[in-house]
Amino acid sequence: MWFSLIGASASSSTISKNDWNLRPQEQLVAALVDGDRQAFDWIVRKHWSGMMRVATGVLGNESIAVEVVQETWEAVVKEIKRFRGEASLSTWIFRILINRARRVGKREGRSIPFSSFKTTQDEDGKRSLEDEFTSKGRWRSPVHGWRMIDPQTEAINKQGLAFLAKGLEELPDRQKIIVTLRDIEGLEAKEVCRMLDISEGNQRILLHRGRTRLRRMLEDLDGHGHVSQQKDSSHAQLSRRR
Amino acid sequence: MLNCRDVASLVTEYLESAMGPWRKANIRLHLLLCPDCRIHVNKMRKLVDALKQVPPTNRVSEEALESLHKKAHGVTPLEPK
Repeated sequence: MWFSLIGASASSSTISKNDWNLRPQEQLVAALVDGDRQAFDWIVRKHWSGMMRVATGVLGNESIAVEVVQETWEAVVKEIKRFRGEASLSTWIFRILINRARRVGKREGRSIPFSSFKTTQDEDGKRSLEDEFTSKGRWRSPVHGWRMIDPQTEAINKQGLAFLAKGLEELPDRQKIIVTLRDIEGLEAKEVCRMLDISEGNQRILLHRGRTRLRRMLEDLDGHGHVSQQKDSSHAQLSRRR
Repeated sequence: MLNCRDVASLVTEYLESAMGPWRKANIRLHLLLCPDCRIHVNKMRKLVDALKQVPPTNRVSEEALESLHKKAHGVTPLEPK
């Protein structure tokens, strides 16, 4: 009903992709049930990159991942009428994706063994947390704020975001999957644990390691140690005193 | 009392509010006294916020979208690869 009203007041071509972000999830679901092309295109575009990253992480093969992502969208369209909203639509879509990827991965012998979805030493990378601290557990050198900051918003700027996007692709598969689901797609920790069948503790460790890797990568590119002299000068002075 | 290494290793747990009140109070006490760790926690917050805005690394092409739409909605079968 709502959709026919919208359709009467504005042609579908005038619905910008941002409109769906502002509307309640029920409206998007209703549009998908109605087979609305704008809604379908918007949600596919929104999740495509994350779904590809997760599917590739699970399967270790991009061409198989594309097939799984395509099949997931077919399943989403087919099953959307049954969506009851117990979880968010994003969670529901990613649950379908991961179930499919795991099934295909098992068949092809490619899937990450989720039963051993625990952390391993190789995922810690070359640098350990110990490198950054003295034997007494203090920072070896003063900590500086991000240099790649938008002065108006105080948030990491576009250059930093581009580096993060690249860094995400370079994370070990398990960290990549968790960081994508939690930080990019914004899924709840409990939902992620349920869909991957891992404990909250393991999920958090992988998230922490993924974020730590990204932080170090950005610090290396940011020029760690030469950063935000004005803002952090007082902190740096204090640190030097300690 | 927690040291900087402890705080750095607990920062995700802290930002996720996935810790008990005692541990959280210990971290807050450390942050009160340690400017380096305050900067570190703030950096991690900004990093997490930034990840929500990261540009897509893999965009679906218009052709793939058209093909996907047709196949998903049963308009016409996909052309063979």
